[in-house]
Amino acid sequence: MRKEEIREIDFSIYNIKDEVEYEFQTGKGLSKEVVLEISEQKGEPSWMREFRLKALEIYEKMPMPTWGVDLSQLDINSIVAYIRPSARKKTSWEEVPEEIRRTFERLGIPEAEKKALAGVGAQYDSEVIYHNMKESLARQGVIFEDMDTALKKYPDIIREYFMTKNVLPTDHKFAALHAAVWSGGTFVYVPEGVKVEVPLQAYFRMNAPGSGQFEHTLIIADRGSEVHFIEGCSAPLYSVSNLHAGCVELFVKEGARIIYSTIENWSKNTYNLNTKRAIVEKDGMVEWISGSFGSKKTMLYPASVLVGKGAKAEYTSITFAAKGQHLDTGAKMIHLAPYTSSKILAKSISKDGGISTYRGLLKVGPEAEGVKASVTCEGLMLDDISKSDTIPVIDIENDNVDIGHEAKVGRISEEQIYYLMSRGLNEEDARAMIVRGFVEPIAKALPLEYAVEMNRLIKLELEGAIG
Amino acid sequence: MLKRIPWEEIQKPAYKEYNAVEIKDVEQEGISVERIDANILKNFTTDKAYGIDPKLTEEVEKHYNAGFYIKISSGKEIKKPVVFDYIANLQNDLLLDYNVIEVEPYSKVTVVFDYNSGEKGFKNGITRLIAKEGSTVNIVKIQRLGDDFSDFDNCLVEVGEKATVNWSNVVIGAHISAFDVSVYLSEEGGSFTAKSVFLGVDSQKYDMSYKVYHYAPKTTSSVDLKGALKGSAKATFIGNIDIKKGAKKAKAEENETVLLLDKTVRSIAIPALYCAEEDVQANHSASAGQLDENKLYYVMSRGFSLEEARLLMVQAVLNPVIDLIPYDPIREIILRGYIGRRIIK
Repeated sequence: MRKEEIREIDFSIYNIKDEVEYEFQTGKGLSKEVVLEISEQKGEPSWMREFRLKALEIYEKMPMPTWGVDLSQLDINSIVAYIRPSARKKTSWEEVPEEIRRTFERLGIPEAEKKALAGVGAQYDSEVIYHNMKESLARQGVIFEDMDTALKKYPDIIREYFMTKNVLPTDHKFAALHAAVWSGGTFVYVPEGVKVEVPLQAYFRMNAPGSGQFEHTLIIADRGSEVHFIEGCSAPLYSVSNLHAGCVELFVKEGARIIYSTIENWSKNTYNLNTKRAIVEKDGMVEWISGSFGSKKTMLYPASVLVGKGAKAEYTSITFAAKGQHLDTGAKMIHLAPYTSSKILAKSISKDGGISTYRGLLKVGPEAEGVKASVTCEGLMLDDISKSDTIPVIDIENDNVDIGHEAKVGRISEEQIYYLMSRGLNEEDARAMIVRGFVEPIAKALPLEYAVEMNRLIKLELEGAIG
Repeated sequence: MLKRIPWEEIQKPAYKEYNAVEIKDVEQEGISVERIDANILKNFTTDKAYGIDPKLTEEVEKHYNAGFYIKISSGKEIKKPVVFDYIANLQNDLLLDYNVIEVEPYSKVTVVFDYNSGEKGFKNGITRLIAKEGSTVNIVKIQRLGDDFSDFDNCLVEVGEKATVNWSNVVIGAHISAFDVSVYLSEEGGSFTAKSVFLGVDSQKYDMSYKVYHYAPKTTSSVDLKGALKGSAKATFIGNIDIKKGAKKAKAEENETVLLLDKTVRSIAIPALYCAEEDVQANHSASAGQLDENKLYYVMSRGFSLEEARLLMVQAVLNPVIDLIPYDPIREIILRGYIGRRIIK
């Protein structure tokens, strides 16, 4: 039988490199001077400068992780930590410099804003260049700001929450790196009881070769509020490595709900070493929805710390590892309070020698009675040169729990193909339909405007299969 | 591995001889049993990775004080199970056993290792199984040592072409008990099945791992571990299925079920699945939870006390595996003695 051919994702749309003038950039590598320069350029308060310097010390002391993906080729000393395009932040598209605007227009950002989004932030390399939110939300007290502006406008809140009680610089080497050189990102505050009906969006774009992007996202959903935040990431392909070490901190207060969706499509020269964590209080809920298609190596394990009674977390993901990629992702669910529940659905596709790894942790503390948790992992192998690994850790410290874990890996079964062909489909269509069915639970969980982007990626795959 | 074993809690007696093994039903046609020695062992060097920790396998390699070379001639069916009864007592509280079982093509055998008795001591052993083409080998390992024992068991299983190995671990005794069974399916059509149980009570600490490597096409493996934890017992289970490139049409499955009987227990499971071949079927599952309240209620409505009802339900999970022990006297002792005494206090 003819084997299905599934082509590489067509990255051309993401690959357009802009000739942008940079107003300022630090030299390559990391040093006290670089950190001071970033802080100086941004005109930060002294406590943030001190915080950065302390984090740099931690970074220098911490060892590189020896597990997960191979990081031996990542040379942080050849990465430019901070790079600022000569564009100031704008609130209307027309004012954004043309080259940058074109890139985002090609990616469909302003259109999406018009149609379906409540607010958009766009970050180009280290700085946010566009930020806008619907007025009706501002009237309700919703804050949606880029992180640097937020630091100036709301220093007390930022000082209280910024890497102090969620992700800490001491968590791991790349969290420390992030804390030392972070730039840009988003701050969202949703006041008590406010439900933001349409999603907020941030789009991150790395344009310069050999640069790092270290954006910081901090979302606080106050009691009973709801918000959906979407992030998209892309970069053109260069021969030198880029590094993305962002940090996401979510605070879900009592009865609140945050949905956090990501479509990650970094170019295949990017090391994506990202840290995401949510702290969920009583009856709160966090939902992570993620599609990982890009990057050379990824290590990303969004964590949900369920600290309040009845808190909930869900994680739904699809990982697509193609040639030259090693995507090591998963979720951490930490149950610390009674009657908390969590659900993980992780799917992966490996082809052309790609390696996809699910690595997760489900932990139930001694006080967390009545916990319900399930973990489901499914790996689809499209050829025999790829790899699919599943490494779940389940650690339970009390008896009143209901825990289930299931994983399977395999290829498209002959029986399924046979069945569909007996119903009148040709073999290619049958295979395509099965792959589409495999990713459907994730596509369905994504909001429309992002499902469009993901569908485009998947469709490109399937066109290869059919043609 | 090292981090999970509380080395500081392990007490080891000074080196001494061990002379308390009893062998049953060895006088059958087709078996030869010799005491292990360096002359024999030099034929069985291996570069395959196995064992709980290199520190432990090295200790046995250098200082073994017991163990046998068991050879089954080709084409023989050994009717009665061969039993190695490793008894521990005050004089024999250090056991470092090194066993090699070589099963020639197309023969069948069942070998039982029963580590039992004693109060306090240290046991560390290596068991090598070489199951050649078309052979069928059943191995049962029972660990019911005294409450203050530390127990380590390092096993390397090599499965030949179309050979079948059925393996059972029954872990009930000792204070700290760890085993590793590393299985190499390097020949086409080899098959490995493990059905094992554990029961941890008080402050017992168990560390159990099965690592199954599928190298050859059409190999199959199945690991099924069931257990119960009570008091402040702690169990760690590592189940690796590792399907290498070239193991086409391999099938692997793995399942762990743990009953949690007290608030203070601790259960850790890492059922990992590594796959580098597309044309395979591999799945694993793990579950943990309490006894079903409705079932408990039903059993109690029939006149049983809560403790008795719990015992019945734990037995319902463990018995299907214990029933597989091919040696009646031991099975009875475990069923009536150990499990009951440990659940009802």
